[in-house]
Amino acid sequence: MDYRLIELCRVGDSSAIENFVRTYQQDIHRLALSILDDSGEADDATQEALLSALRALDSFHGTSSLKTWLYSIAVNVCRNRLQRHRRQERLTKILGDILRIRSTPSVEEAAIQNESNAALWRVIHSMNEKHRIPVVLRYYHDLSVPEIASVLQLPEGTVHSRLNTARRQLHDILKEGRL
Amino acid sequence: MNGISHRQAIKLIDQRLDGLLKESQLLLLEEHLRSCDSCRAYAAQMDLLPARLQNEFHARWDERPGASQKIIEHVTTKARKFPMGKRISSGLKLVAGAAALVVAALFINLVLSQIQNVSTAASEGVEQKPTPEPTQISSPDGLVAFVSIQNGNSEIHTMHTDGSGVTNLTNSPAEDHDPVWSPDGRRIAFVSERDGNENIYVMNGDGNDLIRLTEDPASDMIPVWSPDGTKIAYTSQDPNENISSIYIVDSTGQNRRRLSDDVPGPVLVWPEAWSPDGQYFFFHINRQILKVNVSSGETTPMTPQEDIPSQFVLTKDGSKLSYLDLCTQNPSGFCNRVKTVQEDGTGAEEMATLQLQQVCKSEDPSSTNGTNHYELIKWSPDRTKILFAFYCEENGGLFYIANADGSEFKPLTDYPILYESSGFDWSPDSQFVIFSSALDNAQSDTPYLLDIPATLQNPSLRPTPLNTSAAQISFFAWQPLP
Repeated sequence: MDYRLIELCRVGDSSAIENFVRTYQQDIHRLALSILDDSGEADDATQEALLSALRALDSFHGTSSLKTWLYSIAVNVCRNRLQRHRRQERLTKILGDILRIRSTPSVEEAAIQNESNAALWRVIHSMNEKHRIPVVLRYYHDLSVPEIASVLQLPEGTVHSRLNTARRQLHDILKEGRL
Repeated sequence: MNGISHRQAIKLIDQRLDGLLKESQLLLLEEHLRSCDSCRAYAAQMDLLPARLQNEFHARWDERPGASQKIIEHVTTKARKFPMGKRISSGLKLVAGAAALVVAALFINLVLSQIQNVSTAASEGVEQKPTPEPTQISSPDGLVAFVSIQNGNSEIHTMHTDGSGVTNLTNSPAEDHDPVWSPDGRRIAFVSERDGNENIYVMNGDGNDLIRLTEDPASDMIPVWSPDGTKIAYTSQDPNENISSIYIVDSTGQNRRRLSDDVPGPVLVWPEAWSPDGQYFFFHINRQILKVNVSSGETTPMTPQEDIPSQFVLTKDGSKLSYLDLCTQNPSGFCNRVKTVQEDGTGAEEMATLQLQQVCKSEDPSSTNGTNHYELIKWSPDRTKILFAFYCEENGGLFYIANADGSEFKPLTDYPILYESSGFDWSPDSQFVIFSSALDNAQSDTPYLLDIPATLQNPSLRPTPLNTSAAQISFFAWQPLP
């Protein structure tokens, strides 16, 4: 871990901040994309997460890896965004249905309509967020259970249990031959 | 078959997938798998999953564009200012501390001199007058309930209108949202998913005395208190059947009954939907506003067939209903006319046409093809004004205001308010509006108070940010005055 870089970022050194952003932005963006499934949203979330992290560098004490700490911030940013979208979409949908207007498809709906219609993705997409995010962290970002636990600030047992629930759900569908 | 059961073997297979098995457990599992066909089949199927998931994820995301180059520029520009902000903040704290010491010293001095004066006056036999109350420079009265999202979980909180005293009322790992105060400002109805799906609950304003009002598998939403606070109407939507209806229940949870027929799709209710005497409830169904007699269930259509009404409100005395009408010449868009109708459904009258084309430069916000749109519309509690929140692609959120009849429709501020669909609410005295935004590079979703009469006088007036410990604030509900 580059403590010198962190120190320079703390005091507002422009080139250190640029270096920090260059180093981590692609990882954070990939994480945000895998949770939000929308490139534009992932850009906004990456920016928000990096700014939050730089603002909170004083609270980073090196007890976990910098990457885990950054992932933890980014996951929270993404979850908050998902939460807000869901509420807005629900209200828009109610109003839209009543007035018979065409509502803009949600980020995730649009992704489904426009891209993969794969059955596997549909199952993953329909999963509760608390199960989907650990699956994505485990099988796309290759994080171990302890790392996921650290990112999500959950006990390892809870992470394992959520992964299990998700895998069982997928297994049941596999077994029924639907995938 | 060796010493472990099927159940234990399945557990070990699951643990193995997460790399959680010890060497000894692995050996036990392997031994069991050699002699158990069903467990071996399960293990084989489970072993396929990671590769399938990895393939799916990589195929889906690897080819997408990476982070935008603008991120470096934006983040670097903003983050460079953080240490300066911290220094200013520390400096201000020091100055504030010093000022507090000076004020305290002056105050002690003043008190001592008052004591001296009093004792002198008493000794001179002069009649003592009561000390006048200090002038209060205070925020508006009451609490504000709101939703704060932390780690993806929404909780209902309250705070004073200056942002202090933030209290989490729900403290539940499930989603809690849509707080609505009872008319006497003592109780809060809200929607929670703590029991598996969306149900209506009621609690005191401090979070105590929680009662669950609904227990059905449908999604129960949008609670609306009757004027005397004894009943709550709400919409109930069955997502499987895609049917909805309006129900009513006592605020104690008793006497739940249906007020409307089941209809396909959702039904919608608005906050001011009860007649002042609590005898009638108004709701929006099948492009019509209906009035239902709560005792008999008899319904009366309120709006002409040719209208496509949207949001509505009753006058204070209940004699008229005002509503926004979707213009028939623009059937794909939102309403842009304000109309009124008598409480018996007769005498529909057009009051004003809203000039929506002035709102966004690029595109009419009533169009449904673009990103410009209405966010929220609310009549003021005294029914003198309507506040509109729009979103325009070119400059973000805008507040527009009109008289209650739709006349004098105009921008409230001469700057974009950066409103982000987070809801707003009027103060009970109709003087203030609370909303959240990220003006002036503040953290996103900072709550602000906007003084409406003062802003109408001076559209450049900036709203007051509230200094609060809560984050990601939205969906405000201002406590009614007792």
